[in-house]
Amino acid sequence: MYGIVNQGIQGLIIENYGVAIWEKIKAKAGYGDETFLASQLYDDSVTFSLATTAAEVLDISLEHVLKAFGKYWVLNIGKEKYGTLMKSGGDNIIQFLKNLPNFHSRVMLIYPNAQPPEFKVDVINENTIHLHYYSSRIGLTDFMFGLIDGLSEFFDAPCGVNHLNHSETEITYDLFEIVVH
Amino acid sequence: MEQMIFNAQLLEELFPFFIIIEQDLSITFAGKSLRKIIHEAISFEDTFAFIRPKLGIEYKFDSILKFKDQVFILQIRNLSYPINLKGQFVFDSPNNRLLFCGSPWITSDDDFIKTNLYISDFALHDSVLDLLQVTSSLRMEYDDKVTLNSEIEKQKKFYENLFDNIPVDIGVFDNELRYKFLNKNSVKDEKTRKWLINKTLKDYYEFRNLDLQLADERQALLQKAITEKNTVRYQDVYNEFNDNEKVILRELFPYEDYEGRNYLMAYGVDITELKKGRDELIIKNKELEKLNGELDSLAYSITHDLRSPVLALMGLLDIIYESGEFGSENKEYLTLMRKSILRLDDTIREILNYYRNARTEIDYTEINLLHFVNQSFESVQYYVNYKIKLETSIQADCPFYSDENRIITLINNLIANAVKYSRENDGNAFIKFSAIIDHENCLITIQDNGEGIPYDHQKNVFKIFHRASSTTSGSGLGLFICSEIINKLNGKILLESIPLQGTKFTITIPNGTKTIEIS
Ligand code: HEM
Repeated sequence: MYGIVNQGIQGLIIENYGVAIWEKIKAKAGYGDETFLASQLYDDSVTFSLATTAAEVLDISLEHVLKAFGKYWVLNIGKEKYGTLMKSGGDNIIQFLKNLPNFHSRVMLIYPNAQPPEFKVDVINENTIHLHYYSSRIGLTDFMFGLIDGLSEFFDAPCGVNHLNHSETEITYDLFEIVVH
Repeated sequence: MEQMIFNAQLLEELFPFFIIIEQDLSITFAGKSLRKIIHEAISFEDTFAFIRPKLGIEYKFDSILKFKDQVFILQIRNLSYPINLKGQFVFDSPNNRLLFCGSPWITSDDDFIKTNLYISDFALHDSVLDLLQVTSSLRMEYDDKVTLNSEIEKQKKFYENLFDNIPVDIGVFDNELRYKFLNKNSVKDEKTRKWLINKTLKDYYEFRNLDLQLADERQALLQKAITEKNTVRYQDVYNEFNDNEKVILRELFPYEDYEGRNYLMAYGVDITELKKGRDELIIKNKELEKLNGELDSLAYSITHDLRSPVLALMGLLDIIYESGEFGSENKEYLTLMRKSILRLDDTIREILNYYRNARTEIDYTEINLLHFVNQSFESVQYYVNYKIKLETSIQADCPFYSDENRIITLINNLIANAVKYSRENDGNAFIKFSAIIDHENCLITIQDNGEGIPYDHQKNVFKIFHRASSTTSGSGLGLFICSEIINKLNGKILLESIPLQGTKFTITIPNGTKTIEIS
């Protein structure tokens, strides 16, 4: 994945635990001398080992790390680096989510080596949508939960999330039902 | 085709900002996203201003028609934040009207926010959205560049700091011999240092008012190092002949970087103090050598000159002895005198041997060991009044080449010692001499069953003026000279001795054959 993802983990850790802990995690994961660049492609294993090492060092579950990371991603990286998307996607979470597939398709247009996830949004009624998530990677479902949580906070829209479907074959597929209260 | 009536709803799906303009420039239709911005669009001129084309165009249907093969930029009037539409006019000839298809031209996130438009106001195919995302990515890449630059700057600082704090002059020249880098130690003043970059050594000499001919010479050395790809070393002397004299040892190392560019790394170490010390040492050494030489020859000539009176004394004594004209009690004195004179002569001879060993070069000839051993034994066996048996064995693969005089002295001393410190042993006293000669070495052992050497004396026997036994006669120089000779011949000597059982010397001397063959 692109280094912006690793920078996200870096930001999350530094903001919550400080630079020293981050340096420790980075070194323990084997990237002590690395300076992560946003627009450089890194192997997925870098991201995964950063996340698992963080869980180990902080003595929390990987699930916890991924969820926190998802939330941080929307509320910090998204807001800072992709303000337009966050602010112009729509003034509510449903409008925003409808844009998500196109947004990730454009990521791929600009960075042909990226493998961003695919989404499909079905509007069930004015308060309910079904968000289909397809990814070539496995293990990021908890990240999705964190992301949705972050969006809910960003749009000040408390919502309920039902995990309707989950499968991991060659690709990961998840179906989330998001109900805005 | 012409009878096909196009569907405005379909068109606005594709171009949500499109408009239809009639001959009188009235707007009869505006796309749904445009309607969000301009609520009452009646006249084209009241709603839009030409930005491009602008100077040659008029707000007239025909005028617009003439420019219709150009890209248009139209600004929507009367907005709190101006929005420019980029697009094109097409002529709908059957209906004699103009269609403008375009959309807001936005190049930054901030502008987007100010338009109060949403992404959903744009058609999916609209590349303005792609452009916006590209802009975000470019900003991200720019941030990366900033990060990288500061990383590089940090590294650069680190190394510069390192170089600046080494007490050595460091300069780097490119292959045109222009300065590419100078550390603080080489040129203290920062302004001069910066100025020197891309200048030559000669420029520097000129700047400092130094000897320009010397600059040319130095330049030639730099050139030599870089063309021959060889290290060059020289000394620069500043303020010669006065108290501030400074001597810098300079070394030039040519090197090629990873891209095949040639550079010259020059470094200079201040060796003023070192050189001063060394110069003083050299002078002192010379003086000492001279003094030593003088002392040596003085000692040699004194010893040498001493021998004649001693020998004369000996001769005179012998005459008295043979004349028999002395009382019986004087006879004893005469015998003691004779012994003393003999000892004196021995000592003098040994001292002469020492100086000879120290002063003369090695002179290789073939050595007849057996002959010298027998001769030596014959001359000393009368020291004792009992029989000593000499056993000799020589095993030779080849001749033994060494310095004859030194070998004789060596054998004389060792055999004499063996005799002097022998014990009668009920008539079984012996001295065993053996030698094994090959191309490399000559290995000699001399063994006796004499008094032996007390253990606490053994490690000192090769020292000057040390006597193995306090009871016996001897100058104490014998073994010292032996070890000096063996040193000179690059050999080794080993002592094994058990008191009251005997002594064994093992000596290894390199066979000089090789040296002879080579020369
Ligand atoms: C708002 C700013 C966002 C940006 C800039 C962004 C950008 C990216 C980028 C660059 C990747 C890495 C793709 C690669 O390198 O292969 C990625 C992955 C991902 N994105 Fe987004 N994204 C954003 C928002 C979201 C949101 C709101 C969601 C979900 C609700 C989401 C879901 C994901 C997931 C799950 C991945 C992980 C990769 C995978 O599952 O295969 N993203 N995103």
